[in-house]
Amino acid sequence: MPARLRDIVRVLASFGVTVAPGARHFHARNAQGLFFAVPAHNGLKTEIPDVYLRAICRTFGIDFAELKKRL
Amino acid sequence: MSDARTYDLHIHFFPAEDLPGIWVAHCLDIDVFSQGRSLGEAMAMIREALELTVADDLAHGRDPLGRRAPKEDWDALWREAMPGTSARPIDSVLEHQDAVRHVVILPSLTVHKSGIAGTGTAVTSYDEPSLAFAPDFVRVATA
Repeated sequence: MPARLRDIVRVLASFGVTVAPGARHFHARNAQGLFFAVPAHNGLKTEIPDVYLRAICRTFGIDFAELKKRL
Repeated sequence: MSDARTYDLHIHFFPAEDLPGIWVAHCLDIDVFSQGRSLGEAMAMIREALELTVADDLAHGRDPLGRRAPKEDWDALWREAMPGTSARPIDSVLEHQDAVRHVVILPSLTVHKSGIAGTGTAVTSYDEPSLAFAPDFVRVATA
């Protein structure tokens, strides 16, 4: 089930990942400085599919089930 | 000082299972995703996401290829997306995206390096990334 970017930003913060606004992509970064581009073609209302959320989790070492639970 | 790095990439475009009308774009070599409300927008979005990611990794001394997608994603590409595909011009595919199930593009991404020698401190920046869809053909599996 997809999630809105607004909620993803909030939940990623709880995992120590900050998300800075950008133009068509927001810029997610963890404490180690690792970067991940998050699509924002509809601003904070952009809906993000699960396949994308899994990639975010893979990049930042976040447990997917735990992320979904917090959304 | 100036030189360039070039990355040969595999980008897989497919409709999002849980989000009707959205095309997902996945570059497996660097494990970068993006998406769009049309195939054309997904292509523009993945281009930007790749440029941002590769430039950021290089600026921080990371190898973008270290992000490589997991084996199961590569297996799915070769098992589900590539068999039965045919090469078609990009423009033709964009006009008939409703009849397309998977699209695979094999572009190259070139990043130009600029070295700036300061007062005893060398600052390196990576700029002018450019993703070339060349040749202008994509591999397509129809619905």
